[in-house]
Amino acid sequence: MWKFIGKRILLMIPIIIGVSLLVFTILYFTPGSPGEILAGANPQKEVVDQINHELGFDRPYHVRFFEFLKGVVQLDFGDSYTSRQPVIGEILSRFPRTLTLAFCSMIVTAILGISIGILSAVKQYSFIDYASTVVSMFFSSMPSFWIGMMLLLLIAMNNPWFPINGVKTWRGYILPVIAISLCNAAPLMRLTRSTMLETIRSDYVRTAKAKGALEKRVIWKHAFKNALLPVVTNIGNNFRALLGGSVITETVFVIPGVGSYVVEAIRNKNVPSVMGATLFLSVTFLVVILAVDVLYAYIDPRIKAKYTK
Amino acid sequence: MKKLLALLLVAVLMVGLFAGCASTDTTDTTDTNNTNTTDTTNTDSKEEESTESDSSEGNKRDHINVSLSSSITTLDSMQTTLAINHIVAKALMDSLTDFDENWDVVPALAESYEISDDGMTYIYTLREGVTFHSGDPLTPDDVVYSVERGKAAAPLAATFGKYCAGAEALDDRRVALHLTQPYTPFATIVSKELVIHNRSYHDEYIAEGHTEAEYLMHVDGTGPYKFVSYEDGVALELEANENYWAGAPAIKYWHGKIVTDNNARALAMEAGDIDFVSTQVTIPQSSIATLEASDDVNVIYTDFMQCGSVLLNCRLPEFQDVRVRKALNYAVDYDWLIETQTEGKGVPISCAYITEKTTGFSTADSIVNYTYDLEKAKELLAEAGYPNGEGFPVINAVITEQRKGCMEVLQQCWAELGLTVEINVVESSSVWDTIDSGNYSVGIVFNNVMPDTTMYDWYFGDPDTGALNRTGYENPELWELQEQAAVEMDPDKRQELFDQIWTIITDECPVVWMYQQPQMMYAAKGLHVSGTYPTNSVVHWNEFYWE
Repeated sequence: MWKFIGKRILLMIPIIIGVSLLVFTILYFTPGSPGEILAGANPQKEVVDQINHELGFDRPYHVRFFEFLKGVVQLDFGDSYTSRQPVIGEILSRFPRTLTLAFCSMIVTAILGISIGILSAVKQYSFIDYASTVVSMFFSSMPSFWIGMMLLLLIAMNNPWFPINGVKTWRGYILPVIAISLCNAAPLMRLTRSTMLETIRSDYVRTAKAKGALEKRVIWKHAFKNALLPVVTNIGNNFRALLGGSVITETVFVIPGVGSYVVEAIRNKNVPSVMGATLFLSVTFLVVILAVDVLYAYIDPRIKAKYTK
Repeated sequence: MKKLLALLLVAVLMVGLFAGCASTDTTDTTDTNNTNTTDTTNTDSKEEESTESDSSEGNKRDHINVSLSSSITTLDSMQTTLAINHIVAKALMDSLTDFDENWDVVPALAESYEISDDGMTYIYTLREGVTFHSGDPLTPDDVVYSVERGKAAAPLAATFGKYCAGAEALDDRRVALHLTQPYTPFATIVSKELVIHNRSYHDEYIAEGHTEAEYLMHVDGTGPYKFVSYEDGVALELEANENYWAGAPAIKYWHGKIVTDNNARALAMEAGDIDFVSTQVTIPQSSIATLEASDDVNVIYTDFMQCGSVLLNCRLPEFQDVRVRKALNYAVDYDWLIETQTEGKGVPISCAYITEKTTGFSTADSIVNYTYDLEKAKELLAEAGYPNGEGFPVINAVITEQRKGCMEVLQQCWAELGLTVEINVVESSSVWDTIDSGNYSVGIVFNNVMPDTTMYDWYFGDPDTGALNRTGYENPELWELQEQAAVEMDPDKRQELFDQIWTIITDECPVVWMYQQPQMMYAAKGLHVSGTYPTNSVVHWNEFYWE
């Protein structure tokens, strides 16, 4: 097991170098320069060049890339072009908010999706099954930012208890978490329902029922554990996507997280910030993927056996 | 092979770890640590602050919530061109002089100034008893230091940096600013660009081990508000400067809330979460009507204009003929353009792209105004040798996504002449690069109005004097007049020169003028706001109060 984890951590190194190279190259070939943004309206060409020179933006490709890699080894992503502050500090001050949002959303999504999914599988073709199917169809076709805006308009505008934006207090997290969870729980519920139905119909479940095991025990002990694997994968994927991709929800609710930081940085041609944040996010992604894989081992002994081999 | 690879990767990992350890001694990591600690302390103090002020809401309004459109990158307006930085910096820093509501230069930190006969020296007499937020008195030496900073600042290189040779303290109240060449709008440039720093505070702050970048967020100014805390991406907190030289501001606490999304901002304004949205901070077109209908919000149309125009690349043979340029101007259906692009809020341009408040605004009869006249346009184009647009090259329009709508209207207008426009959308970070490379036929630009006409030479100035000439339009007579107007000190003679300049420019039209768009401010009901001032439409925060 430990060997497996160690191997995976080592594999992160080439992945990180690859990601850096890819993002850096793409940024290098996109048109425009930070000087144009920083020099304001109708800039003199000399002013733009001077700013680009001060930022080191005019140096050759390989010099800038290797300087960046050197910095990464020392956990220094360089200074932001716009604020001239160290990028790592800016990311770390924003990451807790993104993490809190993603984590809370993941928990709520899992609770909603799994419980309703199991319920509608167990009571197939009942009223609950039909109702939850319709509701989940509705929410999975709605983008989370739209739900977010509706929540703002219908709830926050009429109820001062919910802040209209920002996450100064924990109350600020409630609406964005609901918006994200509703969207993510809907497909998760469908997935749980279908995998549960599949396992419920399998031979060993029939055997368990035939030998007289209690319904409850059959569902939780026999069927659920086997149906869980794809569900965990789905939750893990969602969590990963939320860490980097809840940009729109972050924007709608004005949560200064890592996602909105990257978007702003891209707009400003702020290369150190984009590089720093993408690298930071890719490391976080890799850690989450690893955690999901380790979790598999605990759910399924067959996989654990494979890892130990 | 596999083992070898694994070993190699382990080695890389070890190098990484050790390098990470070793770097604790280097300045880089120390900086990061410092910033982190500052951030946390800021957050703490801010939270205390905000709970305190939230509880006082509903009673006497002693605070104002201001919408900020993005993170604040510096509080020193000389280091930035970002409008929001200027709007905030105006609360913390002052200049030697300022603008009044007619955009004329009036005293601020200097109670008066005089200009030498040769126009090469400006002597400012400082107001007595002015102190910085730290308590240090304002001295001529601080002005000398600030001038040095201004001269070195990249964003001012083409204006203040170009015309100011340096400063010297004459005695304990007077300071002289020397020019590199006579330049009449210099006093205006000082008002607009130079802000006064505290030299001793800066030197001590740096001596304590802080970086210059950190100083930019911890300046010591003389402005109406004092810095309290800043949390990146979240909020900026300021507090009234009770010793402000023009009288303490009526509103004690100033909370800047960073709301980057335009829709979220409009919603927050509607909900009363924000009290003030300045110009240059966008409210989506679709929300303006809602806010105008709201009982809790005042929508204020300011005198501050943005002027939209289309640059014609006069280096191209087809645009060297003035009849073609005129035809393009006459073919624009201005009413339709204004209706679709500004929901009818825009106004036609009467004197190129300046407004009445700009020094040099001309009302001379010789100014040419273009109105929609398709027949005339067709005639002019035929005279130029392109009847019904035949043989006219495809017009390559360089445009940012934001202004694509304008170009689409022009595309249809010019199609009536038989001309084809190909729209090329480019990133806003590369639009000037594209235009300066000359690889375009037309390009839309929007300019903020300036306080003085001499500051406009971006499109048809004399390149030999270092002025910008983005259209490539060459006219030595015009350049001669521009140079005279830049040094003429008698206002009446200067106005005559401007009358001639604008007559030439409007008649020769190296540009298609579209419309001027009034910029709007949004204030909660009961909030009295100040006017807007050039060039980043800053406001005077000390004039705000709750009625």
